[in-house]
Amino acid sequence: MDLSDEALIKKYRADGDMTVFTTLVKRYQNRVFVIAFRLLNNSEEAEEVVQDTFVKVHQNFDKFRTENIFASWIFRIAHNLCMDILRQRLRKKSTVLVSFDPQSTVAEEEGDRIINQPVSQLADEQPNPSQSLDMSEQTNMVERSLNKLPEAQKIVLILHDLQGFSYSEIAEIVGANIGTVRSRLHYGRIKLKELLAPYFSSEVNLPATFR
Amino acid sequence: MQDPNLKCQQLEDALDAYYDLELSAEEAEAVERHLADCAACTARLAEIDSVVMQVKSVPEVQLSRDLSGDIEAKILALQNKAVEIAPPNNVVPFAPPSKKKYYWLASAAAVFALCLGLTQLKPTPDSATLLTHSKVTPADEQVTDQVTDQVTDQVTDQVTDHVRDHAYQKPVLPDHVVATKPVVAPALAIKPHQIPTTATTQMLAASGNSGGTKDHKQDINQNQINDSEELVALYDYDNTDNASDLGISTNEDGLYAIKL
Repeated sequence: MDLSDEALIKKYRADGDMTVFTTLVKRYQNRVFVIAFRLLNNSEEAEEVVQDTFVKVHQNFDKFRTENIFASWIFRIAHNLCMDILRQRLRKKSTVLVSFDPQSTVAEEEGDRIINQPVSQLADEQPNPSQSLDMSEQTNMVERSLNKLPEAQKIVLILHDLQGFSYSEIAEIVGANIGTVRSRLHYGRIKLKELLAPYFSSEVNLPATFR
Repeated sequence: MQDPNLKCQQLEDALDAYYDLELSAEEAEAVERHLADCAACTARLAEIDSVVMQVKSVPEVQLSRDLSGDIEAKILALQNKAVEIAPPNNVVPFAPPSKKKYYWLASAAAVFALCLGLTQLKPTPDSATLLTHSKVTPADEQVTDQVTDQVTDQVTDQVTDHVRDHAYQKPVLPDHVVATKPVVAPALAIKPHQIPTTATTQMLAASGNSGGTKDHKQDINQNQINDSEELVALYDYDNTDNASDLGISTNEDGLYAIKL
């Protein structure tokens, strides 16, 4: 029979047995990975977040109060780590200069771009109409649309609709009050509906750019 | 009757909370009563369901491998690093003994000294007895007065001599010379060895013998200024830059100016 989180925490605090801690890691590592992956869209970074999360959990184990929910505490740490990475990305994005030269032979490689070399194509964040026509998989579109949401709304949607956390748990994880969580979820769903409307409209099965 | 639109606006995010079963029983009942009569909100509820279903349709991602081993290794590495950094228990740091442990002794001594001082200020029974029982005779008073006068005269003479020798002698202007504004800074700022008494006083004394015409007054004032420049140069001899306090300033070339 699996021990509850509380029982494992108590046992680990009493014995300091690393196998008990590893049990907690195995219980939550995948869920932490899913959230990190959904937020970061990068499996390597998401794996790093999983590792760093549990290292932090271990380092701060004495600070955890048993009256709180252990899962919320873990996901709050993971959420903060993800936010740090996203902020770093934002800083990098704002400082990287790309010179545009249509004659250049250097192809633009996503994520592996050679900085300071002119690129022949500039990335377009908007979906390409031809691309969108090629997209047959519904889930792919939903994923793309999810990634277009503001981070605050996206994380609430992922935590609630994908991970099944309650409003109060989400509030604890993201460090906001329940009213804010409710509002973010509401506006996130409205925005997602608008983003998905071109693909799932019953009137015309074409993206909005064609109408 | 309530405005149905306003009611719908009030239900903005409550519909999401209703869908997510996050409302209290009373709130949920109120929403259900509204939904029974409002097709628009019922349609919105269906939209919420549709969006949530689409989100849930996103394929699940899985960790490609178990990370618990890596995590354990990281934790152990950090623990070992911490042990390496921390000094062993048997190593005594080579440092002079802290003076902190003597602070309490110093403070205790200070308090004791303070208490002792306070008790000395208060008249003790012995000293009070001495004061009340000692009688001063007229002969005692006479001797005391003589000693006091002698000491006072001696000290006064010494002080007078000292002042005569060291104090700045203010130049004496002739009666017909009227100084409009002081051009010399206060004597206190001048060092004894730098007192420029001779040039100024001699010049002024010479000019004082030649009568009191208007032109002569101007000459004297001009001479005063010239002398004051000399004085200023002496003032800032040590480059202390205190001259500004005396109304004296320098320009970029190091030339001195006096605010008149």
